[in-house]
Amino acid sequence: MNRELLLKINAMSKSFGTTKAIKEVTVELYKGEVRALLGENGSGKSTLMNMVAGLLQPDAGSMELAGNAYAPKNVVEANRCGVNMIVQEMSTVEGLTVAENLFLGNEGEITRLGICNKPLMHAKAKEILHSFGLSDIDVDLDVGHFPFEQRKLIELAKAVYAHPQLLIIDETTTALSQNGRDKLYQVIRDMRGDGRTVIFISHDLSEVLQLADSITVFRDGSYIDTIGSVCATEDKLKSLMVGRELTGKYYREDYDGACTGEEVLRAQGVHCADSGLADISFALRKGEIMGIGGLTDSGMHELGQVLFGAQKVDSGEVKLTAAGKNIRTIRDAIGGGVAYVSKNRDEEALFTQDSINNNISIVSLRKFSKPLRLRPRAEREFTTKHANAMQVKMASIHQHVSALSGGNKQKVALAKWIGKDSDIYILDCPTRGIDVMVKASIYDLLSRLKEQGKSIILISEEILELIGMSDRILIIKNGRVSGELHRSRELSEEDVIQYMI
Amino acid sequence: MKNKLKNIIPYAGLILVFLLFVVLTSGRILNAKNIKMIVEQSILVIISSIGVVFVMSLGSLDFSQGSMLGIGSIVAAKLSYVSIPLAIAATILVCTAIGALNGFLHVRLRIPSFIVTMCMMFVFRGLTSYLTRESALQVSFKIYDLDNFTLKLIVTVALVFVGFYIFHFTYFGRQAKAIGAGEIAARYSAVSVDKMKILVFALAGLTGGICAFMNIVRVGTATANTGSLHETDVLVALVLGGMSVTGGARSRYSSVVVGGVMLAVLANGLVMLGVGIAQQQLIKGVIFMAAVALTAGKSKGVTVK
Repeated sequence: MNRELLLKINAMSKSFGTTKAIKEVTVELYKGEVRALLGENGSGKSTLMNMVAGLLQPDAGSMELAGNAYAPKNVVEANRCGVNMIVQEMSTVEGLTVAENLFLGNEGEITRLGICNKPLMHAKAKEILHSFGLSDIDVDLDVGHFPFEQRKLIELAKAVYAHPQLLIIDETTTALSQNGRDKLYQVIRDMRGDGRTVIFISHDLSEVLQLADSITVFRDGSYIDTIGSVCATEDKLKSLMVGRELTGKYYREDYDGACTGEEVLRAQGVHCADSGLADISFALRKGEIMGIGGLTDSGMHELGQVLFGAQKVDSGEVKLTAAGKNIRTIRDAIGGGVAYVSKNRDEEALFTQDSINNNISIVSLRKFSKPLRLRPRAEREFTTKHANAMQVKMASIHQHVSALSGGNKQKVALAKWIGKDSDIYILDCPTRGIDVMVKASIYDLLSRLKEQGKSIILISEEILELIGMSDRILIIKNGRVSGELHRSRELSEEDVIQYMI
Repeated sequence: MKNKLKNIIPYAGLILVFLLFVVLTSGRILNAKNIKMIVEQSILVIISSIGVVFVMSLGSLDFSQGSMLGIGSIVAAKLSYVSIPLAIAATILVCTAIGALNGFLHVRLRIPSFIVTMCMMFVFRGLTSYLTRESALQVSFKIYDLDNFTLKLIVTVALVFVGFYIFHFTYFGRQAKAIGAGEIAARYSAVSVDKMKILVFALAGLTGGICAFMNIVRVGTATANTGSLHETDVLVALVLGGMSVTGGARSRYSSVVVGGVMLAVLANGLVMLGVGIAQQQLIKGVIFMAAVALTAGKSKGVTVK
């Protein structure tokens, strides 16, 4: 292989306050290479890539791009040098049309004498999307009309159109369905074929092994090792990431016995036009983990919201069996011991701009105080106890949640409901974008909750997780239940997928 | 560490402003009579702020305090001839109703609060002008029995403490701040967001009503201009006192007192230096801008609901 150096990162460091996010990292990247970056949440991969893409400035160290000194002050400068990045979050701008988004920051191309040539923009935008296999997107619609996945693909099309020599993709696949992933993989392979370079960050080890030429592992802000993917295995990568051998179980290992506890929740003929759900019926038992699978837009995420009373149903009902009460509002649900951790964690499950303490206590105030008499000390004891039980890595209970890594945020979101002593947990993609260690601890938690007789509805886009954790899997397709599978050692991914599409 | 420093800024600002005027007025500002005047001046802003700080903790704004003062003063003036307790009760009730209406319209019509309250400001400012079009309304002389500095001070201090308690030690205060920290997350945590908002705006109406009565006790007449620009004074004071415009966890109750006093010192000192009303407005405007720039989150834009 032609090993021509493209990017050299030289002893770069970056701190946020007292936290050293990146410690003297040196990495070399070659032309025509696909490099994966691996590491737990908070290991510094994203920070490093943000510096390469001009989103952050390093405190120390330097970079060289194709032999020249490279120190981008902002994204535009990085783009000019041929470095583009797809960030983890949404970065298309709502309120602008798809076409306007595609040319945002690059209006020169469609502007003559300071005036935007709309027909030209329209035509070019169509061409870009067409070449990307996205012809069905109307470029004159507000980008806000499109779901997350489509918007991600629009962003990707934009980045590819810029023809970068280095494309950085930060944990994008979690937001994509198989079809979207295939498009992304194609982009990556095309770039490699062109002699250009791709860096991608992902927690999906099998994807990493399948795509990358080489893999660089980070841990606690330090560079650990770079290995060729040919000689790497999932286990080896995991132990490099964690710093020790991982032993034992990941998913549940029991396969014996059906769940025969009493019924705790029943959905009966649920119809909901807004979320496209039709005729959904099932019963959840005590001590049962019920998986719900399907494609992203199958309606399974909306079903979670309906069960929690966050979306109104047009007909049918969701009933708490023991109390004989229907869930119509969020207050009904929480009052009946139902917990919900949304897929949209930062908006719906957490107050990111508030302390860990306030996040955990908000649903449990009654446990240690009266409406007219909050007791801060008792509250602190309560929240500290539950944060510690979940092993949240924090400086203090008063630290803002926004300062935590993704895995720790999720632990706070879970601690809130465990503190409330909820009986039914609706968890929508609880391990999304979370590293192996925290993932394992969440699976362990689910097993413990099950043992305690709690019931769990696990909505997930990861089929292996559904198979590994559920007593029963309900598959949703086009808003209807398309299949039901029971726990068994023989269950394969194909068994689940056939009901999904 | 950085946070601690940020917490001190408003207090440091207050001391700095005070010292500055001590020097500029060669100590005249420290005259006992003048200190009393500063306190008297700050009382109105402080009382309104007690309610408005809750509104701001939601991440909302209330621009209707001044017009409440106007309409409340008319109610108080008219009823002062019937019975003083009735006048007090009615003034507070009317303003509370206006506050509740603010909240209701904000929630129901899904209009940002600053627009709703600004519209209400015009509506009630207009009504005030109409009701006082022929002449200013005089209050009954009986009301002057209440014009007692000590009494007003006691009432204010008591209200400040009640507000403090509610802000920090009740579900009400906690839930208001939770809404400011994240409205959707609050809804997903069983907070009745709409109900809370209406209650909080009603509370701001209540303090607006108390403020209206305190005002008329002092000035004795209700005119078309009563309470004009009071709403901006309240907001400026709170921001100077370190209250976050976006509300939520960064809300600081201390801004009620710190800001109210700072604004009064500023106004009083400027008058002593012979600075005219027009220039005072200009200075307030500049300081307000500076305070918002200093307290607002640097990275993210400010959104007010």
